[in-house]
Amino acid sequence: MDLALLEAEIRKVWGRPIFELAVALVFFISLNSVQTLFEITTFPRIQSDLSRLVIFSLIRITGAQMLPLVLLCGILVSLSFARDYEQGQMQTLLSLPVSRAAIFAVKFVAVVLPLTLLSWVLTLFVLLMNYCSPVANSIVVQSVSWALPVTFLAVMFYAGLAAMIALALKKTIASVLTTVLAGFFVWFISTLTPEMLGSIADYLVFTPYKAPIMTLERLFDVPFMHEPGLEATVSPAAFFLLLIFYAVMFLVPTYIYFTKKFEVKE
Amino acid sequence: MNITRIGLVSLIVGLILLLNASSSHVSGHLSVSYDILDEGETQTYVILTAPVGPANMCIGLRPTSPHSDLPPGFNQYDLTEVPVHLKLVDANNRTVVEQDVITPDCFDVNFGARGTYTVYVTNNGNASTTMPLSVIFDFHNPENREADKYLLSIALTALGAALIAAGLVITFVSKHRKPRKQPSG
Repeated sequence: MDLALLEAEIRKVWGRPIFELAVALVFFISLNSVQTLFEITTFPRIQSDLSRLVIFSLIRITGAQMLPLVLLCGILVSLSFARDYEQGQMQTLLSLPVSRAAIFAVKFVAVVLPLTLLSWVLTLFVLLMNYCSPVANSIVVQSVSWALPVTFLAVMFYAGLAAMIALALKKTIASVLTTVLAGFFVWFISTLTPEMLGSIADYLVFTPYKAPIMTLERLFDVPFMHEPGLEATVSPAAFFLLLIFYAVMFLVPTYIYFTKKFEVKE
Repeated sequence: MNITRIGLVSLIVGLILLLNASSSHVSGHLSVSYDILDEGETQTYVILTAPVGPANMCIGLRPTSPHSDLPPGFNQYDLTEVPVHLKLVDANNRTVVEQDVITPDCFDVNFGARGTYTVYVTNNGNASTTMPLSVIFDFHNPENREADKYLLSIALTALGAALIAAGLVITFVSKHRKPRKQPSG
């Protein structure tokens, strides 16, 4: 991957005020999802109670961050691909002595990596600030380290979807709106209840919106709040595989299309 | 990333934190009871807390319905007027309260530092009993905001404002600096 190209793309995508808005949105949501430290316990239970508090807060933060991350990721990827096409910069990029695969990777990584790192750093900051103590710090670092791959894979799914929409529509506003609507649609599906859907609601834990949260819950063996459904029968590794599948589901066809078939009309 | 942008990010984070930390996030009544305490035995409670300020701590206060499983006086181990020795050690390992009291007994406590507060209760009575520990906060009292988060938010906001000002001054100076005269010849 061309590092100079990546740096230029990151500067372009994360220019003022995008980065500041993303920080504000993700930090505000993370801060409001964390539970204030106040717990009465006993000496033998300190470690387990602290772990429970930290993991509960981590899962709440990850769940709450998902919608803004999806929307941000969709908008930025759409802007990155469709705006370049509309403004004629794609033609310039494709004429550079850089492979199409590198251009695609640069555009993808310039959005996905900073967004994942931003979410992870702010989650770590909020949790460390909230539970700061010699006992809790190691628990926070250990548990938050698992959130990094989970968030990365979740963001990759939406980035792949957004890239596909942007390359198909080739218009900035249309692709941004379609990506936002698609993100809201996936989120909306996950809010449906068994009263509305019946037994199909059991499968909602496998949707791209719920799967990252379920992965963390199964990974940390969080006790079920209500009668466990299908998620109880699926191992954390299987949920991870599902996330990887979602991450490459749109990415691979979009990559193939971009490197083999995509043409810029004069 | 230039200094003005770092300042702007710090200012944004500081202001959002200030907004969150200026209000109380602990209010109401938290009551916990673990094992049955026999005569002469000591029960130790650990309170993990942020510096959330003043509260009222009660020992031996029976939970009222609907929180309790049984009506008051129904459980043979829910005794009142039990003489106990009480000791409260704060997060800095200082003994804040050490006295003999009769349950239920309430006293004021200030959670001024983040960390672990330890409560030791010794049953000096002649019967086994449960010994609930309750902490009662005022309803959304601004004094119960987290002191360290509040300080951090002010520090981040001030740092952000200072960095933005510094960045603007640097930009202004660098734009208006007179170009050096080139040696002729």
